[in-house]
Amino acid sequence: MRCLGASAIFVGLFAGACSRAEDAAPAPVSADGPGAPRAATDAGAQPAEDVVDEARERGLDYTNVSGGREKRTILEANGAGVALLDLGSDGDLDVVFAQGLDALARVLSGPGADLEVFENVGRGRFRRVAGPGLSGWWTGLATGDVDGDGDPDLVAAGYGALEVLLQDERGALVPRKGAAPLPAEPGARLEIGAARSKGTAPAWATSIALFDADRDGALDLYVGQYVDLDPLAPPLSALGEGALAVPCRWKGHAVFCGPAGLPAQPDRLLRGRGDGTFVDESAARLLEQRPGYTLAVLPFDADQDGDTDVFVANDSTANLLWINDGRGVFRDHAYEASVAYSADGRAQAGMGAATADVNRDGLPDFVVTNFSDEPTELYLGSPMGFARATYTSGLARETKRLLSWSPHLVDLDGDGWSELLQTNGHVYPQADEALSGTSYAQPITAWTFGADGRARARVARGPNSLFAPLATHGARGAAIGDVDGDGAPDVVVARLDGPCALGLNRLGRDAHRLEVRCEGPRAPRAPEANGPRTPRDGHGARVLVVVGSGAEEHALYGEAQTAQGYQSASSPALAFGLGAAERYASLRVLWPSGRVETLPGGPADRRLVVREGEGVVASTEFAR
Amino acid sequence: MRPLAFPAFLARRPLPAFLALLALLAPLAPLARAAAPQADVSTAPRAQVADAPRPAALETAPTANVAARDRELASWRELLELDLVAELLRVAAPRVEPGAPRAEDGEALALVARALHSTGAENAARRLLEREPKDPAGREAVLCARARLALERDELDAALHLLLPKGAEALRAEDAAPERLLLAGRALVRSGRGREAERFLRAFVARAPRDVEAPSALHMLAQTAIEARDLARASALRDEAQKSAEWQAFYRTRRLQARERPGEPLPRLGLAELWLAAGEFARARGELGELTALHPGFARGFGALARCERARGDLAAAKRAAQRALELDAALLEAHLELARVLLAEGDRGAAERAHARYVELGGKEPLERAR
Repeated sequence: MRCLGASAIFVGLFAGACSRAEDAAPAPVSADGPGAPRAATDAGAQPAEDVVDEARERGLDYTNVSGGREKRTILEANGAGVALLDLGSDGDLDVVFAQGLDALARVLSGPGADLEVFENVGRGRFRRVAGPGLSGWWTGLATGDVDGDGDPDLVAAGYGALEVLLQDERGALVPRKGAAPLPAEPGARLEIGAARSKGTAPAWATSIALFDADRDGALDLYVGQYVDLDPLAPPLSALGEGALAVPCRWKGHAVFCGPAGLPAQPDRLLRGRGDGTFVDESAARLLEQRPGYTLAVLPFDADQDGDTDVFVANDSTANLLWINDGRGVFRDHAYEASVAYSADGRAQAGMGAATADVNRDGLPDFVVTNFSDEPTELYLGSPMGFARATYTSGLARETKRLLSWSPHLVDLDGDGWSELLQTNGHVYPQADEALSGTSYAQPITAWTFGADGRARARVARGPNSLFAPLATHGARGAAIGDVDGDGAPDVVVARLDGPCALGLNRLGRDAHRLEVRCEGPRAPRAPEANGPRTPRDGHGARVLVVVGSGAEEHALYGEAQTAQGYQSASSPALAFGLGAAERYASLRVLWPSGRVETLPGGPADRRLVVREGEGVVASTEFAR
Repeated sequence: MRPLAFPAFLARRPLPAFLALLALLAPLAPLARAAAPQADVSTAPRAQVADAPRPAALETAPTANVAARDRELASWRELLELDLVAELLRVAAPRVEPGAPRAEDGEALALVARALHSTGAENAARRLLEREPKDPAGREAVLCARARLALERDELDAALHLLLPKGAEALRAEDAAPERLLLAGRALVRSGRGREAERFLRAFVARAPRDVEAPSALHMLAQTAIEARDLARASALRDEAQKSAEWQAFYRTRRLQARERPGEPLPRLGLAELWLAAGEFARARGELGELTALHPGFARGFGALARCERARGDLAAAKRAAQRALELDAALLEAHLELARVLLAEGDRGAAERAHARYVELGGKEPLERAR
C-alpha cells in the first residue's frame, strides 16, 4: 500500500492520511503460558539477520544495581536510563549509564553511585572510563548541547538530584554545580550520606528531556517527576494507619506501596540560558498543571506547527499532552486529543513513549508503553489529533501480558517502515507467583508493522539475540544509535539488577540506509536578533527524505529529538531505511527557526551532516 | 472543572503545517485527579448491575437456594473486581467442575473464565465457555464472556459478531443485558465506530450507574462527543466520568479495608456512607443494618442509620436510631443534628430547635434546615 507520495507531500505537507489494509492474518498469540511473552527462537535458522547482544564481548560491562531483589520500595523497581552521545567529538557514540544503589537505606549511609561512562574506541568496541564523580541514586539522562559550544552535554536526574554535566575539550563530563535548580521545598535535595530529617521527600526526577521550548536557540529542560517517597519512612506494607489502612497488594500478593496513594510530584520546566544553566519557570510555562506520576517525557511537534510539544506518560494517572503556544507556554490537551486515557476510559500506568511516522503519512505517530494487563498504545497522527490503532493493529493482544518500559519506533531492518522495540520487565518479583498471568523477568521484544499496519512479532534467530525469549532479567532504559558505524541503528539496554545489553543490528543487510544529523547555525546569535532560532545541535529539526519515483515514491519523516523511551537519550542522528533504493530523491529540512530547506538527492548508505543555511556540510560512507 | 476546548490542531490540521504558527484557541480545562487513596479503577469486571437477569432455572428453586447462589456469585464478583483472582479461582473453580453445583450456571462460568484468562490460562477459559447453559440469562453471561475473550485478542469483528449478530442497528438497547450493551459499545469504540457505540453506552450507564465499568462507559461517551465536536457534552460527560471514577475508587478502597479488617466498623461505615452519597438508600440501609447488628455499641453506625432512615422517609426508625446513637455517645454531633431534623420533619419545631441548640452548643455548625 502506498500512503502518500512525495509529490503530494510537497503540495500539502503532512496533511494527508492513508487508509490501512485490514486483510492480513493476525499473528498468533500465546495462550495458557505463565505470562511469558511470545518470541519463539527459530532454532533451524542461520545466525544471520538479527539484533545480537554483544555487550560483554565489546567491553560494555555495566551491571545495574537497583535496590534489593525483593523490591521493598518503589524506588528500587524503576531502574536506570542510558544515554548515547559523542564524547570527545571523534564521531562515534559513547555510552553513559545511570546507576542506583543496593538499598534505599544506602542513600542515608552512603556511598552514592556515580554515572558509568564507556568510551567507544571504534566500531562499537568500548572501554570503561572514569565517571564524572557524582554521588547519588541516578535515574534519567538527557543529552544536548546546553552551552552551545558544539558538543553534546548531559543532564542526570536522580532521587533528590539534578546535575548538569558539561563536556570539556577532552570529552570529559564535568559537573556544573547548581546549574539546574531543584524545587524549593525542604528536603528536595538529597545529599547522600548526610543527616536528614523525617517527613520530607526528595524531588524524584525520572525521565527528563532537553528541547527548545521557546525557540530561542537555547535548550530547555523538562523534568518529569514521580512521587513523594520519604527515605526515612517509606511505606512498606500499607498506606494509611489504623482501621483504615489499605494494604499494598497486587493480585492478592503483598507488594511495595505506590505510586497510587502517594502524593504525585509536579513536573517542572527549566528554561535554559544557553550557557549551561537553567531557571525554573514551571509556574509560568506549564499552565494549570495536574501533577501525575510522570515516568516518560516525549518532546515532538505533535500539532505540526513548527514548535515542540511534549507528551507525558503518567503512571496510574491521566497522560498529558502539553501543546506549545510557540513561545514556550504549554497547556495540556491530552483529553481532547484522546491520548489521556485508554480507549476504555481508564488511566493507565504509562512507562515510556516514542515517536515516528509509523504509517508513512507524513504525520508523527507515537506509542506509549504501559503496565501488565494494559496494552502498549499506538496513536496515529490524523487530520484531527490522534487516532488509536492499538486494537486494529493487533498490538493490544501482543503486549498486554508485558509490563513495558522503553519503546522505540525505529527502522531496524531498513525497509522504510518503523518497527516497535520495547524493553519489558515487571516491577513486582511476585509476578513469578502462580496465577499472576505474567512474569518478573521479561524479554526485549519487537514488532514490525509494514504497509498493512498489523503488528507482527520479530522472532529471535539465535541464543544471543536481543529478543531471546528466555529472559533472566527485566529491562528499563534503552537508547538507539549506530554505535558501530555501519549505518544500522543499534540499541543499548539497561537491564534491571543485571548486565546491560548491546544489541548490534544485523537486520536488513541488503537494505540501503541514510543517516541525517541536523545542526543549527554556528554563528552566535546577534544581540539585536529576534525571532525563532534553531539550537546549535539541531534539536527540533524535522526532516523529510523522499525516496523512489513514480509509483514507488514515498517520503520518510523524522524529528531530531534525543529524548525517547524511558529515562534515556538516543543518538541525535536520524536513521532512515531506504529499502532497495540506492539513492534518495531529495531531502527537506524544516528548521525550528522557520526556515525550510530543500536539498537535492544523493547516494544512499551515507552519513550526512546538514547545517542550517549551509546544506550538507559532511557526507561519509557507512563503514560496512 | 472547566470546560474542554480544542486547540487549533484538533480543530483542523494546519495546511501546510510548517508555514504558520496557529494560535491556540481557548484554554482547556484540566481534569481533576481522582483523590481517592489507591485510586485504581483499572480492573473492570461487572458489578452492581441493578437489573442483571437471574437465571430462569433458578426462579423455581427454593428461595434460600437462590439467595445462597446470589450471595456466592456476589462474593466471586467482588473478588474479581478487587483483582483477587487467585482467591477467586481457589474457591470458585471447584464449584464449576462438571457435576459441581455451579457447573451449568452461566454467570458462574463467566466469572471463572474471566479469572482464568487474567491468569494467562486463556485456553482453559475458552474450554469453560464451550458449555451451553440452559437458561437465557446464563447463555447471555457466557456469550458476553466469549465476547470479552475476543476483545482481549483484538478480534473486534468476532466480538461484534457475538454481541451484535444482526448488526448494530438491529439490537434494541432496552432488550439487551447491560453487560452486552457495554461490550458492544466497547467493541464499536475500539473499531473506530464511536457514533454507533453511543446509544449502547448511554443505555448501559442509565441501567447500571454504579457498575464498576460505568466510568469507562462515560469516558467512551465523552470521546464520542469529542469526535462529534460537541465539547459541551464532552465536558459534562468527562466530569460525570470523573465523579463516577472517584466513587468507584473509594468503593474499591473501602471494600479492601473491610476485607483486611472484617472486625472493624469504620470501613463498613465508609461503605455505607458511599451508598448514602450515591443516593442508594436501600444499599446503605442494608450495610448499616449489618453494621449495627455486628457492632451494637458503635454510635456512629446508628447516627448514619438515622440519616439513612430519614432519607428513606421512615421517621420513626430514624428517631429510634438517633436516640440509640445518643445513648451510646451523648456528644455525637451527627446524632443530635439528625434528631433535630427528624423532629422538625415530624412537625415538632420546638423540640427540633431545642435539639439543634444542643447540637450547636456542642460545636455543630450545620443549620437545622438545609438551604434550598
